[in-house]
Amino acid sequence: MLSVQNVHKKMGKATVLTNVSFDVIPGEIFGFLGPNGAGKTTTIRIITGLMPATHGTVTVDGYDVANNRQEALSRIGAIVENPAFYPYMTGRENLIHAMNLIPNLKKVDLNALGALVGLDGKLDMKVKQYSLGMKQRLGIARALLHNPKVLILDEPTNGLDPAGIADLRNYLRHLADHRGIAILISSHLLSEMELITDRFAIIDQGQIKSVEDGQTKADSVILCKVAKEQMNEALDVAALAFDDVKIVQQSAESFIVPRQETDIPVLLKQLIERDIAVYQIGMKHESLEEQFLKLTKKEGGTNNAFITQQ
Amino acid sequence: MRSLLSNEWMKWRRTIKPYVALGVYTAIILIVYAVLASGEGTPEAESFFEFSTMGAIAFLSIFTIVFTAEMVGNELKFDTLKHLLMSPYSRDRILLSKLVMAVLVMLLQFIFILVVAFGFSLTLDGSVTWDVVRPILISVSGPIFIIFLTLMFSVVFKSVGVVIGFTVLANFASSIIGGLLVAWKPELAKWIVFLHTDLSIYDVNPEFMKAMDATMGFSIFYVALHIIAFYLITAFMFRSKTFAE
Repeated sequence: MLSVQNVHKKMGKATVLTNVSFDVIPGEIFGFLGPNGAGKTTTIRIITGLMPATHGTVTVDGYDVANNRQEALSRIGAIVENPAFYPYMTGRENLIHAMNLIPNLKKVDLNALGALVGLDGKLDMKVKQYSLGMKQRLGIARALLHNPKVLILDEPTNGLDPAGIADLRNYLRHLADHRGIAILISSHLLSEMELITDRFAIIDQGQIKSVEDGQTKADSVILCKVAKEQMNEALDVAALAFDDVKIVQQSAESFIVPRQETDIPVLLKQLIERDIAVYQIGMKHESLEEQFLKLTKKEGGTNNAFITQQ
Repeated sequence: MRSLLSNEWMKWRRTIKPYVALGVYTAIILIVYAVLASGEGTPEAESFFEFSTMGAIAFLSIFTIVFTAEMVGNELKFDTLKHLLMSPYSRDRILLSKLVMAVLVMLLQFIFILVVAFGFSLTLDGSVTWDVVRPILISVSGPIFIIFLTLMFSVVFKSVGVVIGFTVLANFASSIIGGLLVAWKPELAKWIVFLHTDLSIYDVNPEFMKAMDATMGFSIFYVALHIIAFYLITAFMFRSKTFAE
């Protein structure tokens, strides 16, 4: 539905984006993940026609954003950076303004749209009286106004409280599943991305480092905690039981075995037979965040600029 | 295009400034009325109409600079320009809608001034004749020129304040300098476009233009040339700028 192919962007002498390519299919929530300044917003600006690419193409439903602007942009709804409104006008007036920006748009039931994003009864308030969460909702209402096929949300959870984030997550899932919208979300909030996306691309320093499937995203390992003085013995047992993998001692009393969950009973049985006191055993999932740091660190990435929020 | 115009109209109408402007025009007209009425005898309708509209139109020029500067400047201030530029409509159309609305808004205020002044003049002796109305109608060329100039500055500079400052400076300072230059080197002054923008000068003070060897035809041509050049520059900048930090 949304296809970004080999997009390069130079600004002055600096290369901001190098060979960025990805596709978002209908009904999918695609994450676009990277530290601040990695090129997320630049990519989104190119997709939404705010900025031309130096080369490469962006197509929406087969229409090229550069050459067939009207067709392509009519199919995109977007929040780029912060949701911006005319503060002295009401939410309803801001939506009317947005409607007028779309050629040949049929009449939209603004009350229904307001109710859909949880702003029922609040559309006639001036936007300057809105909270940030309400502005985000109004921004989504504006982005959805013309039934776009592609929805682009740049940092959509900024300024939302946990309840608001959960609402947004459910709502986006609903849009993807029931209306078949292709959704692109950018964020630096990794924990959030893990919960919300089907697939995600990791971008750093203007390059896509990897595109991964959300289902298999986490590498899982067995984490086992034993008595300190029995550590060496425990390591021997584990090495004997699983001679094909490398066992890593993580601390004085815990070690990691890179095996499946089904191997836990095997390991546990062996440890108990040798009278080793086991305090804890279970699966540890490598979080997206750890993966992300690994990926960007390897390349001497910009981890300092990277903000994590749990 | 009509929907873009209605957007610009809504954004202008919903601020307080239009009402302030209309209030100021009414106040000026009332002040002129009060001053004339306080003199001896009943004042003439003609001179009241002339003075009051001239005073109000001076303010119209200033408000026109403010309104036009804000048409682009406020979009930058509220960060809403990105939504306009993301619209499937082309940038050329977006810019044109702002220009057209700036002119319409100015004309509405201009008509408001004429109607209010005419209304008060009915209470006075005599009547307003075409000879008085004609130069005032022609003087609308001044604010039209100002719109094009302001629009050009507003795509160049980010801050509304700077745009207003530059336009006011360009407009009034060069009129003053030009005015001095006329007495001294009229052949040079002829090429200062600001001396030509108010075409009513050919009715009000024809000697001034004669000194520069300028004709109405030349003035119209020269002002039009500038307006077109300003708009081409504006459109080019508006098309090519990314308006991103």
